[in-house]
Amino acid sequence: MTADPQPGRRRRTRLYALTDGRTTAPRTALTMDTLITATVAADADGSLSTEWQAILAMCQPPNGRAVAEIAARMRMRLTPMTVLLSELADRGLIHHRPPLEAAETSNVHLLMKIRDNLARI
Amino acid sequence: MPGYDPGYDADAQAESPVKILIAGGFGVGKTTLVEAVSEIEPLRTEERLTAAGVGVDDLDGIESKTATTVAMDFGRITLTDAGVVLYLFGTPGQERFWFMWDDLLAGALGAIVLVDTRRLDRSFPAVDFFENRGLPFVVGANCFDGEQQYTAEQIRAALHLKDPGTPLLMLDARSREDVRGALLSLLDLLIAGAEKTTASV
Repeated sequence: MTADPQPGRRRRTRLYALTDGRTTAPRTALTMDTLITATVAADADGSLSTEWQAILAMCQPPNGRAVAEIAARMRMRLTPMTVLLSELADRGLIHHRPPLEAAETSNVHLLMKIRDNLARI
Repeated sequence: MPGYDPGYDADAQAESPVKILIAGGFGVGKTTLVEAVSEIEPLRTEERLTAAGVGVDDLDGIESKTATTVAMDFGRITLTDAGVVLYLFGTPGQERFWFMWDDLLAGALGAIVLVDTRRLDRSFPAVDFFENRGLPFVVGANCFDGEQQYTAEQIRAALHLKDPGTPLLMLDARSREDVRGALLSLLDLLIAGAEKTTASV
């Protein structure tokens, strides 16, 4: 990873500029490991901001990306990123897949599949 | 909507995300470990934690005196055959803030606690936290100079592990093979736990 010569001094896009001023809780709840997949092409709608287009380009199917990964690549903190992505989800521009629930992560079958696949990396 | 293909269902194809936490004190080699097995260069993301909860002042735009910014380095391993995308999150060192960060533990499969035997005390908070929350974990003793001056038994005793069955591995965090071994050991622990639960039902 390249070092940032002036940490903290890089430009941050103001959150309210991307969410039409909305800072209240959105309808879609996302966590840092929720997987995001775009439902449209990045340039599908000419009215989208460059930030939104960059996010959509990043998670074109079949490559879903975790909220944390999108936040890191967009150089935003987690919470503002989840607010922004929730806005995209509310508008139908992205799909979101939540992390597996406890019932699934304690499923012997799935755990064995993960183990077998890990053994081959 | 232009460019929208109604016949496409991304959810039907997308892999499910799962995460494993990589914990341990500052400078113990968490990011090195992540880098050893990740298919991408480790990325860094930040979260702002306050006494009131997570990320609150980000939305206010007001800096809070009680807020702290924590950083996490993480990597990714796509396991296509298992249908999951595994994210390895290196937890930030400020363990005293973890308790108010539900998102960190929620949905985590388990953890690897990486320890530096020269600074064993730095690993205590992570061990305590995972034991209290019941998150399964394995301990990896990072051998910095390729050698480890303590035996597994000595390290185990010094860490005061509640569960004597907690796996403890000697590893080199730079070694892909070693790190994969630690992940497999964690999966074996999870599988054994799941089988026990299934059998007792």
